Amino acid sequence: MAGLKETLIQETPVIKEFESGLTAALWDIPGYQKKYALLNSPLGSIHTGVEANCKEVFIPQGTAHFLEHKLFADKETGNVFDYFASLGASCNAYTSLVSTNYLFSTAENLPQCLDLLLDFVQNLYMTPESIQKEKKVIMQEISMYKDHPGWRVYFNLLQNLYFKHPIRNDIAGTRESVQIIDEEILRFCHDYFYHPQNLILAVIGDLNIAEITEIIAQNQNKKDFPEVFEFKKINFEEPREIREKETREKFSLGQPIMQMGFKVNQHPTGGQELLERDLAFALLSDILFGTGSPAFYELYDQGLIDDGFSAGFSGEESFGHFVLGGGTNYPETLVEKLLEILTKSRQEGIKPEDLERSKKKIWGGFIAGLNSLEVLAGQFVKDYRRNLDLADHFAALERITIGQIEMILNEQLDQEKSSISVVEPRE
Amino acid sequence: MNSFNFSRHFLPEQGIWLFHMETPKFKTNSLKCILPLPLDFEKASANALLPFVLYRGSEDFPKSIDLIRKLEDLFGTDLSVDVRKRGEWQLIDFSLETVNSDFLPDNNDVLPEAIKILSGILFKPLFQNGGFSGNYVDGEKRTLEEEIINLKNNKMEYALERCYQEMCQGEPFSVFRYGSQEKIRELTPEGLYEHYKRVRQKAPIIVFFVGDLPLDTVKKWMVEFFPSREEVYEIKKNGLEIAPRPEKIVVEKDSISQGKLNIGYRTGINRRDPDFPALLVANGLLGSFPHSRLFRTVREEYGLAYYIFSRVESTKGLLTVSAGIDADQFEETVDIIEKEWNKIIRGKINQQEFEFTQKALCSQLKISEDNAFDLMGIELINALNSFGELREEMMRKIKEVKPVDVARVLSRVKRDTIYFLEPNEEEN
Repeated sequence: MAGLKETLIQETPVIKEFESGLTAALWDIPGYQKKYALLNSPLGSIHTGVEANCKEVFIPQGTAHFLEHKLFADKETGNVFDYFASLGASCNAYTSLVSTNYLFSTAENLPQCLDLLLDFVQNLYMTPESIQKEKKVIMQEISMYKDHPGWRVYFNLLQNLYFKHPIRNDIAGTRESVQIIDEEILRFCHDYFYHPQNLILAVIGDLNIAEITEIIAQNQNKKDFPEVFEFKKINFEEPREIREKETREKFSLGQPIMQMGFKVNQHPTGGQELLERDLAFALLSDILFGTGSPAFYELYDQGLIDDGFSAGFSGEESFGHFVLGGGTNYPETLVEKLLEILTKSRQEGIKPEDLERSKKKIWGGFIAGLNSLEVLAGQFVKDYRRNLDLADHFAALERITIGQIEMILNEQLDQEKSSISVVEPRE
Repeated sequence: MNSFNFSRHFLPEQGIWLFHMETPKFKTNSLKCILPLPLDFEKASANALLPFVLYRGSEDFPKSIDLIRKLEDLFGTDLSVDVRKRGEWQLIDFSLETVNSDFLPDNNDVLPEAIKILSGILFKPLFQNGGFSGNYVDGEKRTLEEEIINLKNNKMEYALERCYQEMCQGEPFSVFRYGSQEKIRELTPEGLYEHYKRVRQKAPIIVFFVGDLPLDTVKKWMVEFFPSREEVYEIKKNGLEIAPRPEKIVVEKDSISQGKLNIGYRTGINRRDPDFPALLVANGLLGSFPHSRLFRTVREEYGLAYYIFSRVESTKGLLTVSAGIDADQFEETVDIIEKEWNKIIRGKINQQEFEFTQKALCSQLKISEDNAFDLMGIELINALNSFGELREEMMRKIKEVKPVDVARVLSRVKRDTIYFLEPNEEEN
């Protein structure tokens, strides 16, 4: 795997810090038609409480997502979608567990689009009527996800695994929690989490960096921002145990879907360590359950899984879970088999040739992803918040040893800390 | 400067249409191999099963795991297989993506090896006891049946498919891309092999390449790795004719919390129709963007839906509007859609939304240059419609469309079927 790093390192963004506190990564990639920008706020669905100025503030479930909708809806000056459309651009936004992201892509008028993006995200305009109207739209969104069995089975599993950690909540919140979101809490969250000091902007494409820097500086200089207040995320004492061993929900669907999840309780703190954990789990998932593993074909040939079967890890500093499963007609048998495979793998250990092959596969997939400006920008923002860059991924991948993977396998996947979620047909 | 247009070549010996684009832009080389088969109720299941069985093992790699591991060893070469439906074509689709040799140790190119593997999958399948491997056929039959059953898991897709089925009853387009469970069950390893022999001999092959390799190199590999074939049939365009008939309303119940509305229209317009650019603008004005009428009224003004959009099926000549709404808002939503539709026909179009739409469509076409598989997707639809227009020409034509053209084109489009998947009462 040598000879690779040098080539990739050529592709690094220029990072600028502006007086307002905004950090921007400007990434010149010649030859692309599209120009893409991503503005990231560190407010995600798992942020449900903060301590500000020695006062605890409770943030209702679904607030981050609500704020995302609200920033988009009509402003006093008009409709955000229309402004982007008039520039030939398209815009969108999404809320994740740990952040909210606003983005646009365009082939032209990049300076105007950037101005617009910064203005609409940094300016929260609302009226009681507009808040009520947005609630109706969000109710429809919640209903849409309620009809999605793949989404239900996963959130049921998270509710089984966690007692308190807000990761157990739906990103959009609940019908009840959305009702209590009001102007005050939206304003509070916007003042802090959308303060330029907390935002990261990534701009990528065929760019004139000097010009873009100037545009951003001018945009930020004309604005006043509130003072940043002292702030602490509230830590919730999440027990090591799981809350529920198993749940089943009836659903209108074809085949049952089963997901088995392991709660992982040891959490690294630094960026490098988090990255290594992500990669070690990715390698473990692939070696044990990927399409190149004997287990996959054993389960497949026995009719226990189909090609929708997957295994993967999700984790940050405050949580971690390893989930495996998919559509199956025999959830109980599949659970037994999966546990057997884990036990057998613990006894036999990980083979060096399997690790090498799996590394190549993950490496190839990562390179292919870098064709996409969206992937590059998204990866940059995530990395930046973790104090990492692209080269770290390759270095970490190379560094991971059999020992690290076996440690996870032996110590972090405890059957006692596992739970099962099944959605099954009504009849 | 690269124009990002494919050069088109026919390799008569192999019966291959080769669409080639050389560019250093991407970090991977991408190759797509499409076998277009006429969509047909009797053969759809066999057509759909075929690529999945072929991908399980070949003469060179009889065991699935060895085949997959070989690809992984080629620096994570991605080979994926699927079956799609475009108009009344059922498409067997093998897509290959390999990391560009610039990024590989010693600059070794893995693409030729990957193409050889792909060719082996297509032309040197595992043959046992007069047919395909019984195990592989059984396994893939089960998976395909499950795919059909699990269509119900995605309510949006399910409702759209049901709308198409009701709308195009008796026409090949009503056939699901994976065929039917009944027909899948009838398939045997021997029967499927017989079917394979015909496909192998007669189906045209469309190969798209986007990457950092010259035409001669790619052509050479095609000639070297793909067998010569006779009797390859032509790619004929779909007919759009449909006898006039009364409108249909179908309401079905399901245990869901949000109703899924789909309205199907007949456009009678494919890519070769001079009105096609106007149809694209009409669809954009109506419902394919956030600035479109339906999003602005149904969602933004009335708060009735989270999602509402329209789309065009340009090979069969259809347009559909899809929305997720509460059961008791069915009539109101259908009314608003109809009202907006009629406003456009009466020419009530403002200059601003018209320009937004033209810009957005041109921007989409321009930006497609940044994704190899998007480029192939656009070219594929052109190939199926025997249509040779370049993206630049299409952009020019879109810019020339006038509001009066949009009004005219929408008045040609006829509402055919309203399909509503309605929540059971006890769910709400």
